[in-house]
Amino acid sequence: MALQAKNLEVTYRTAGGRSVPALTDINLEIADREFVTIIGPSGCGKSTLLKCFGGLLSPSRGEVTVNGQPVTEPDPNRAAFVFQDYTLLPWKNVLDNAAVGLHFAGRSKAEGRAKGQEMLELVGLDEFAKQFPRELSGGMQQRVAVARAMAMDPDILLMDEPFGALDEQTRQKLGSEMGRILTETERSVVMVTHSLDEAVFWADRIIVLSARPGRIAKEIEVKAPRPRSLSFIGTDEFALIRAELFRLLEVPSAMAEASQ
Amino acid sequence: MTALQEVIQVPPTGKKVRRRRPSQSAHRWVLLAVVIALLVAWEAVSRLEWVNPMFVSRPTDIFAAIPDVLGDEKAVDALTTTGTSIWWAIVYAVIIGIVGGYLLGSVQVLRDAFYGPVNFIIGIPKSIFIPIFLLAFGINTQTAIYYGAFSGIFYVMINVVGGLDLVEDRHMMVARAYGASWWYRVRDIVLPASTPGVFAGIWYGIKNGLQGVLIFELFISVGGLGSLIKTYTNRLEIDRVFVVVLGIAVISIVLGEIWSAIERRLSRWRPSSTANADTGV
Ligand SMILES: Nc1ncnc2c1ncn2[C@@H]1O[C@H](COP(=O)(O)OP(=O)(O)O)[C@@H](O)[C@H]1O
Ligand SMILES: [Mg+2]
Repeated sequence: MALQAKNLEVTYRTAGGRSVPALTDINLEIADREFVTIIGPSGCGKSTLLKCFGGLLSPSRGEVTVNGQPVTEPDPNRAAFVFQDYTLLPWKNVLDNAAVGLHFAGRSKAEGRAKGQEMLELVGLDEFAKQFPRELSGGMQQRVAVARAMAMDPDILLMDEPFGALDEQTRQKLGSEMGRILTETERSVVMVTHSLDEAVFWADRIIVLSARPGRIAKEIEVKAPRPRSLSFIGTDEFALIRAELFRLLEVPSAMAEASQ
Repeated sequence: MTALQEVIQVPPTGKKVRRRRPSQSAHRWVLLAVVIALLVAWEAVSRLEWVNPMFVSRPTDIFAAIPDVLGDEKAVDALTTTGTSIWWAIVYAVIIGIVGGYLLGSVQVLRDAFYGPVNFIIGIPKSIFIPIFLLAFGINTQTAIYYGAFSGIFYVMINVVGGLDLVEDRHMMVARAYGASWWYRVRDIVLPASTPGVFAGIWYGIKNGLQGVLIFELFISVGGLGSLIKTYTNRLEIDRVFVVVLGIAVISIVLGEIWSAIERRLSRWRPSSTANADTGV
């Protein structure tokens, strides 16, 4: 098993001294090469959970381990992030952005360039290596962000609504491309999403979080083998799971029942 | 031919229609015309003796006086002195200002303690400190350098502090998530993100450093162009005064142009800088 969260609890303290419970009672195991999607109402703690997984945030209680080792600080080789916002460094060109993790790790320029180029090819952007981020569309920037994460050869990819800011069409096109890549890499992937379709289509398992403070309301397994072709969307399994997610997320009482 | 090229270059669907070049060159011609008209008017007013030519020279006389001034050994000396002083004043102002600005911006205690006073000094005329500088460093060109640096430093600092506020949390989070050490965070995030403020600071440092040196030279006879203006004025050589003023204008314009060229090169990643680069100014 790759990642384990035990009795996680996160309480934020605001500047005014108020405490905001964001997550409680999270117990979760994510296997090697498993693709897990996390879905839940906005503000329920999805990003918070991902940050705990990656060591960007220390939980108020409980712990996260990867391969038995407690996670206390970020390590991009263990778990690499793809953030929701556009976070490429605007003053570095696309290639240097893709290789930035290797650069931070003190690797040679040549090594970074080679690896960065390889990852850009993977996401289909090698021709844009010398461009600056502002010259790329939002979708392309997020692909570079995926390349930046993959360049670290991480055991786990942590993706926080990576395509959430994109319009529906771009998102679908990008989704199917990225899905291929993510499936082929044979890593564990944890992806936060607010799209029901995305949540079902990619996942081996879907984690549904309830509203604040977030707790696991339901875990749903998707049995169809990956990689899946688009025809999976037409199957009964897809339709049933999607309907259940819809019910959980749109009918308040359903979520409450599931959380019991 | 240029007009035709422009027409062709405009993309049919173009959101980014670029009509800047023709209008800008037109703008330049208008400007030139205005300047010439003013010079002619000035000449006319002077020849008609509407103003006393004793105090206000006329363009043709100024033009004629250029070789005189350039041939004057004292003028050449003054130019060298002022040039050197300005250079060092700017170097001190920029270096100390940048270091001070980063300290002020990143250490909260220092910021609380000194941000107010710095803002205060910026708000008052720096020349009231000239007597203190004389007292502390004496009447010599070195003091002009110190005073010039003093005139520029605070502008540099305040802009660098502003630049530090441009560092974005999301980029710092990327640095942390990707394992950047303190040094990499400074080098690859903080420094580049704050460059717009630093560049603005350097620009104000150049402007105010130059002004400070000249004002000091004008008030205190330590040599240099400022003092030369005073000498020529006392001898009622008004043509020459204007030549020196013209020379100072040229120096500041040249410095400004050199700096904007450097800045354009260094900030190619920023959207606005490409727009600048395209205008071919
Ligand atoms: N730094 C913070 N300080 C205080 N409260 C926070 C902070 N970050 C997030 N929160 C709160 O914690 C809750 C969960 O946030 P988040 O994990 O970003 O939710 P999600 O990603 O599911 O939308 C939200 O109610 C949010 O307002
Ligand atoms: Mg979020």
